[in-house]
Amino acid sequence: MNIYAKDNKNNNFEREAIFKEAVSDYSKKNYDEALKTFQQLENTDKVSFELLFDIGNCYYRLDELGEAIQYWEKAKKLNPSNNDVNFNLKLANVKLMDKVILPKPFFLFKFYNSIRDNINIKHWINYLGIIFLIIILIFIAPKLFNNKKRLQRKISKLVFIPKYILILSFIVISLILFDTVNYNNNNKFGVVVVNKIKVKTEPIANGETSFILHEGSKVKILSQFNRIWYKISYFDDKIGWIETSKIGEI
Amino acid sequence: MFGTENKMIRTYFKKIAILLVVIPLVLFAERKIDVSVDRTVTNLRTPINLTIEFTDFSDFPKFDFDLGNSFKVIGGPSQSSNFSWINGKTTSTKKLIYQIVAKKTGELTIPSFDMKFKGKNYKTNNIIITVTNQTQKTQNRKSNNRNNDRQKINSQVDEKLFVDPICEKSSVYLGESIVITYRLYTKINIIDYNIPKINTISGFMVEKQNLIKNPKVVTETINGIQYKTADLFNLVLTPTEIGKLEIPPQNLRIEVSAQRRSNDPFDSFFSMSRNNVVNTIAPSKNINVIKLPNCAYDTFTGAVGNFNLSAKLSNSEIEANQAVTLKTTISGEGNLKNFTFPKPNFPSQFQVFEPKMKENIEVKNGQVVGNKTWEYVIIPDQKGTYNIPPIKFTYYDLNRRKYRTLTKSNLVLKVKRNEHLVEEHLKNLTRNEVELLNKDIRYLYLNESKLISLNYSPVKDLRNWLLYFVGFFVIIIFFVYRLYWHFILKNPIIVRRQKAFTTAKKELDQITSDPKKAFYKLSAIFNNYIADRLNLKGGEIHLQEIIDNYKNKKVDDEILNKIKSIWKDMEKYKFASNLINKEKLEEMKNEILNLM
Repeated sequence: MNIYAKDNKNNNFEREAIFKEAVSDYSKKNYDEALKTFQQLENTDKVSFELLFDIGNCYYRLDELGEAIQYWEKAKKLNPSNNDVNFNLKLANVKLMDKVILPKPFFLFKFYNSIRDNINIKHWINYLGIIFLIIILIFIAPKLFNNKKRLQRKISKLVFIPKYILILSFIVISLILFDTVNYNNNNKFGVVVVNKIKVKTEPIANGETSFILHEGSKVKILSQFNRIWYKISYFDDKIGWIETSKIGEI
Repeated sequence: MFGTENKMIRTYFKKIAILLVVIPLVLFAERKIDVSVDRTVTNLRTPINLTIEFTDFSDFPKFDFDLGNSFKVIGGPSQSSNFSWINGKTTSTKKLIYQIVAKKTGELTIPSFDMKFKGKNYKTNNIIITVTNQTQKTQNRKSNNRNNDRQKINSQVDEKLFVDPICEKSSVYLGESIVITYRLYTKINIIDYNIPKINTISGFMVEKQNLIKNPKVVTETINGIQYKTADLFNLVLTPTEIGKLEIPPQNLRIEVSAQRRSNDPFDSFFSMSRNNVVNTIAPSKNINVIKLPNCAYDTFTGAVGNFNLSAKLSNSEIEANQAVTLKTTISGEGNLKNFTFPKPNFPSQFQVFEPKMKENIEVKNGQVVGNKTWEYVIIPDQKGTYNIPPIKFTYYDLNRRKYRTLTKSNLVLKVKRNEHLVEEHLKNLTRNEVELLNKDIRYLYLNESKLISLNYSPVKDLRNWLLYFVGFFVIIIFFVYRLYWHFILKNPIIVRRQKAFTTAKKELDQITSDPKKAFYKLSAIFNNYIADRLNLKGGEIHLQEIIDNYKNKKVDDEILNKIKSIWKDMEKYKFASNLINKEKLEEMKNEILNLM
């Protein structure tokens, strides 16, 4: 156990040193070197939000917008409410060649989607746990004072409204959380990492071109064929096939 | 009216007259076939006119015109017909005239031809032709009196003019280009010449027939005789079959200026020479074609010769979606016409169009030389630095007698983002977006805060559900507690024992101020308390029973002593109640409370 702890500690020191080296390369504008060093850490079995964010920055500096968006999206999955990653993504999205102007959604849907996109599932599970605990205590507390009816009545009166507010919140948050987890599990996304790509109508290299996408466009991956082709949809509107090598999975 | 009738009568008479002439001609004519030649002594360079004359034949009979291996037909047949009426006898003659040439020297025979016409067989005579190596001498002049004057000129010309096919190689590889140059040797003035158009030669592909304009005249001595030579034309041929192939003799018409032998002094004074057209034969040429060794290279497309490869990009740095040209050039000598360039392997990000081919091929010193260029237009659609895989070209090297692969590597194309497209895109941005674009991305994080596994899922992480476990634990505890009390309150013994203190305490608080009454009450409270705790009957308990019960429960001796003491005091004052006062009562009450 001690040996393991010691090894773990050494690894952490080593990792920290590599990370600092990459940061140093980046600050000297050696973006290629910085990226290679960061990728060493990425190739281990553990990553961090900061690592993915920084890799995204390296790609952005190297003019690889597709990969930059891919890594920032990955970072956002770990910390959806982080302002830095959201800002970078906003900035990168302005630079995209494919600009789709969709009709404005109903404000409640927009609100709901923005909540879902920015939910940190881990935090929300914890918040929900706290609400759950409070609700339990509210229900139990009066029962503890069976001998003191007056106190019992007082407490019951005091928690009457908050109790229902908390129950309602618990149900609503649980549903949102459930929907978010379900959405994340059932939907896989990817980013176009090549400058321009012809989306085919069928998974054949010489197939007919359905539409063209440019670097950085985010697509929903619907299925995979022969490990070479992804069936994708773009804004739930256009569907086609792209070679897997041209898509960076988020 | 009468005039018209006369005309008709005259027409009928004419037709009848013709029939009267033709019918006996056909019915009673004596048919014969003659074969003749314009010369019986010839050489390999002089064509022979072979005439087959059909007398009184209404049509040409069918026959197999086979000259065997000795002669080759180089022209004809031309046809002519003649109709004569001499002394009331009509004669019809038809002629087929062939131009033939001898393939070899010696006494050669033009074979007889078997013909069949209207059920009757005819056979022609053999003709013996003497073929020499030397140019024709005057013997021939005797053979044909009719063309005496013409023969005279021809014979003069033959001696002084001939054409030879010149080829440096007698053995070539299949697919290798060869050049046959037709060279004129002459001692007389040439006015003009006519070169036959050669489209096909059996076993060869005729790549090019190159007429040499303004041929260079060179003096050359052959067998002690000085000739002026000039290359008239050359043929670029590529063998398509293996084996011993023959390039057939070629007939050339040459207009010469020849001296006229005349006794007329005016002729020599006014016209020193006259122009004549002479047919001369360039003899056949044998070429041995051999097979190329087996080739295991994918990049061999049939090139045979000696070549160099060059490949370069028109630009080494471009923007995405812009075109760049890869120019591959093969230069050198060999069958440049007969191969294509093996398609290079381009990166998949390149859109490559079919190459545009340019060639600059000429015949120089009996060799096909020049260069061939393939221009590939490439449009990379993605930015990046691309190393184009080595460009390879394999050919059969005639000097080294083996296959050789030329390679051109280190072609690097750097493709940048297409700023023009980006600028076009920026035109469609809103004000806020433009403002955003003017900002830079957020800076790096300098340290890692928390490491998580790549396949981390917050839902699967039990630590995130800790509060829920706590909640459920609290619920369980609560229910256990409730259950406990539920069972407790149903057991009267436990309830009696549990309530003993509460009841006793309550009664102690309600004790009156009268010491005597209060003492009795205090005694009853104590008794009831002890009875409740030990589940004994209230009025009938004894000290020894109490002590035994508590001893069974292993209660300390100190407590037992206190119980004994209180019990004795109670007994004592039960019988001397007037001794009791307020202070004593309070003291006993406190002792009981302490004990409880």
